[in-house]
Amino acid sequence: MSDRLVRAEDLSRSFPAAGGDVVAVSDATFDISAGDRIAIVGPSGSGKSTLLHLIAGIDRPTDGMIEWPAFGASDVLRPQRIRMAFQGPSLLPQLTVAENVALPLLLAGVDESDAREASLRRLDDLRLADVAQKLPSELSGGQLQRAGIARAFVGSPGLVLADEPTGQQDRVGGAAVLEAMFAWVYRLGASLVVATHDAAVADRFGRRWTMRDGRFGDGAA
Amino acid sequence: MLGLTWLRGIVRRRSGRVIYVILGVALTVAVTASLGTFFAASRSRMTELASRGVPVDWQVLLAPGTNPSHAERVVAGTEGVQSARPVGYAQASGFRSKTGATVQSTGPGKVLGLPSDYASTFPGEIRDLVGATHGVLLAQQTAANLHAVPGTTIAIGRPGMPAVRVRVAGVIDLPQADSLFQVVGSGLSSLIAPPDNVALLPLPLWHRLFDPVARAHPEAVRTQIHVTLAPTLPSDPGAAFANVTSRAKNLEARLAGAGVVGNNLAAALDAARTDAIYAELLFLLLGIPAAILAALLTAVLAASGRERRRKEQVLLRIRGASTQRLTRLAATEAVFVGVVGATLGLAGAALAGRAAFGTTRFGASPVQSAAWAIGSVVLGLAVALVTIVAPARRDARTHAADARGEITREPGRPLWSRVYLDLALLGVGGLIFWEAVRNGYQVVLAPEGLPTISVSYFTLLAPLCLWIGAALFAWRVSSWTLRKGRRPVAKIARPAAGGLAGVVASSMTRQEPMLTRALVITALSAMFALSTSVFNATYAAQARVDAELTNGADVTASTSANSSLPAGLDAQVRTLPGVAAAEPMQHRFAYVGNDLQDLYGIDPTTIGRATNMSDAFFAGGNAAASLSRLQADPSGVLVSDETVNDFQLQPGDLLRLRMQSATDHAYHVVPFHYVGVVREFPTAPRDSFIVANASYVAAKTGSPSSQTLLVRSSAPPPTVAQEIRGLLPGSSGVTVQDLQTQLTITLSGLTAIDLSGLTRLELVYAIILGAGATGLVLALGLAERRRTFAIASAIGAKTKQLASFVWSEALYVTVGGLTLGCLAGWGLSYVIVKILTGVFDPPPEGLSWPWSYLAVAIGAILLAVLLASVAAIRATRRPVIEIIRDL
Repeated sequence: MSDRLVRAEDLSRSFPAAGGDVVAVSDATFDISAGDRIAIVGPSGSGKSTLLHLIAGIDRPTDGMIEWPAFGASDVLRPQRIRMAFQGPSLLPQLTVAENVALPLLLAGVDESDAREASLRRLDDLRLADVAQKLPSELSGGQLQRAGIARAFVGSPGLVLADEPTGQQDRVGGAAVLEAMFAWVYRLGASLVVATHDAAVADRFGRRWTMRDGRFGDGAA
Repeated sequence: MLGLTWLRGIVRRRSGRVIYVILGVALTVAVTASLGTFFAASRSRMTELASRGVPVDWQVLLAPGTNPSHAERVVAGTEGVQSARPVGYAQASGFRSKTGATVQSTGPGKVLGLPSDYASTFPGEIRDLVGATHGVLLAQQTAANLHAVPGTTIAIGRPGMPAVRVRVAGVIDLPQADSLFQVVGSGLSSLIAPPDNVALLPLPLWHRLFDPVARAHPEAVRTQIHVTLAPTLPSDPGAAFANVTSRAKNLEARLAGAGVVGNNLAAALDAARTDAIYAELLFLLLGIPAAILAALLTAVLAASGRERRRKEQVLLRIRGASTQRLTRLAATEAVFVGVVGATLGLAGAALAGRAAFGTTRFGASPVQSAAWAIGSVVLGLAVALVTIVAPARRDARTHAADARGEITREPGRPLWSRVYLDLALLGVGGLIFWEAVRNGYQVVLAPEGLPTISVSYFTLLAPLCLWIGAALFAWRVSSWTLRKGRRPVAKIARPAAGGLAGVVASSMTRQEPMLTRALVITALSAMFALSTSVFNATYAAQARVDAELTNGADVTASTSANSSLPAGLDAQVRTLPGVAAAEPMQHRFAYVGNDLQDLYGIDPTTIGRATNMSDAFFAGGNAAASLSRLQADPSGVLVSDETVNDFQLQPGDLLRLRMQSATDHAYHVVPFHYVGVVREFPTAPRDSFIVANASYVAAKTGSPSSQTLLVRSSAPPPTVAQEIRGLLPGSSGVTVQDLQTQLTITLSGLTAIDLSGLTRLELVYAIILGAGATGLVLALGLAERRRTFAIASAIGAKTKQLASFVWSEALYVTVGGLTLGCLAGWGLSYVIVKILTGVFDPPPEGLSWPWSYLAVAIGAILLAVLLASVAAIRATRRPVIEIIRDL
């Protein structure tokens, strides 16, 4: 298996808008390798989330190239190996927290009881065991975000992408989430890319990509 | 201003939601306008049919000694009287004729004196058969009894005076003999059996022959004034009945005892107003549920956008919008949806009306049309306001924090569920029905002659309770299944969801309100389609039975009782293509005491080949047993209940009938033995008649001739009828009728409410509602979860896996809804058919199932589900980035 997980050249993504196209990501060239810990920083609207979506394969570039050498040649969505923790609430409202976290495994064909066990372990790591059987509507914003992160780490992903993972946590809670994420990627041998505007969070990462108006600034790969 | 901006935004951004609700409102308005229009139009049609079927509207019987000319002037001067003609009625002691060496004589009869323009003034009263249309005319049966033909001289016996001889000019039939010879002045039900022998004379001749009788025996001679009224009656049969009755009473008052009115038109309208009430009941039982179902569908469609609307309201509230402002915005949307929907609905109703009834008008008159149009628009607006504004106002009052609009754990059970209202309603409905059926009641009671009609509206509570009870029970079953039965639901979902069955079941149980709503709407649609179509099929089947009874078989060739079918016709007919069987039947007359009855001579072993021998024809309900008893005794006869009661007959009793012999044309006693009771028989009249063995009748009368040939066809009856006509010479006097033509006559007759237009509409709406309800509700439910599917897709769900969620829900809603709906629909059909027994003629033995229609309806529902599901699955394949970007 190649050490290089993701490779992108001149990657661009723009969105049609009334006054002309809005460029979210422009001419981004980068590599992500196994074991990388990358923080993408930049102000709101700088294109961090769009870049994460492109890396996750759930959005397609309007220009340039992106490939995932370690996960196969196809550019289709590969969620079993690349996971994404979204910025906003993204749990399925009709499933319990435990079921939501177990869902990626169930979709991958893992046995129901094994998936449930794995899900409970992740929730326990994030101090969510007591809300495991609750519905998303019964959780706070912070709990919802943590549950989303737990779901991103269940199973054995090779690359985890997290969009503002501490955005809805208090300082202590945010630190705990960050610790848990580092522990998991270490244990799983996975790479981690987070988008954040919190400098303290970014300081914990080995690499930092700064974005402004869709372009990489200093520190880019 | 804000309202318009808001509306523009909704139309642009939420066009799907708006269009669906508009369609729901349009459907509600179209159903209501179409059905309302039909019933408004059918009432005036009933009145028109009733008056058209009466040749003589009034028969004014003059008191002895009244000056006929003066009375005629008074009658003719009455408002609304179009024409008035005097008619003489005289008793004849008998008729006699001599043909060759034999003399034929009859019992007493009637001799009528008619003005020369009588036939043209009262068309339909006299049907010419043979010979001239003016002069001395003999009724068909009298001519048969006397062996008289045009040119024969007959003697008319006059009470207390010598007989007079007249020359017969023609032979006629009197289709309205019952009313023509009614006992005027003893109420509306004064119809008696018409005289066996009748002669019609020109009025001057009648006066010459019977004025002397009148002087000597005034009780033997009377004069009537026959009247037609101008066709300007109120369109409602009940109002027309009251109008005609009061005018007749007014005339009687003006005649001051010189005459009483036999009100034939009122009698016909009396029956029509009962039909009109049945039409009203049909509207209540079949029409209103369709409108309610359409309104419910609108509510469900509107509710599907509720979550999004709540979020929009929260945003507006955060920006300072008051509850009043939020309500006004919702009202703006509702008015827009209501007006557009109502306009589309009216257009749809006009198109449906054109297709079903050939008219785009919404009523019998411009006022009625305007009333229905306005009423329908108001209904459309009301439905829009209730389904959009009421929930929006309720939501606007809740705090923003409560308005996240997400799924919550087990919302509380509604009050009706906690108090078991559904089971109570089913029980009460069943009790009311049982009580009504046990007492053999009639839902409509129209005492003859009285202007008031009694309708047991209380009995209608039975289907109402069963409707609501069944819908709520379906709700309970679905709700219970989804709340308590994750494992059974997982089992149901396994064929569609495979390894994801557990999580799919969990997902379904948490969407209990949405899925239950869809299931109940599907069940209601199925219930409506089933009950409507079964009622329609049962009605059509009974109309066919009625037509079969009247026509006798698929095709019937018949001649009058005093002649016979050409020899060998049955054998010739059997060789025709499209003829499955042909059986001859004798039609003779026989005196039972003084009562002349129709007698049918059959071969009991073969008659069933050519026509259906229903169990309902015979007392005891066993056709095979009755015919077997007849076959076992060559001299056996089946007679009517009335004859059995009149003569206190016991099985095996001797019954001495008088029948005409072919040898001397005189009536002779023929011994028969009573073996059973017959109530109805192909071609037989509704009153008393006799069925006997043809071979025995032939032996005893010296004539094996048959007068009727019953034919079962395997090709279209009109085609076979045409082929049989081709076998007959032009002068044969044989009439060939087919079932299809007879069915048209039966269905357009007054005694049977013409349901074809109504049922065509109902059946089409049932399919639209069924398919629309199931498909749209499911589609909207799935569309509302595009975000869910997008997230699932982002975390690894393949299209096939997302489809398993969709198919599982579709399977649950469709199978559950159709099963519960069909069960309830079956019960409801039974109740409706039983309650409206009066509509059927004859009453049905059981329900008829329109399998092909049901297959189409269920097919349409399944197709709608399939389309909705496939559309939802295809939508999951589209890029979900618009949704993901919001996460």
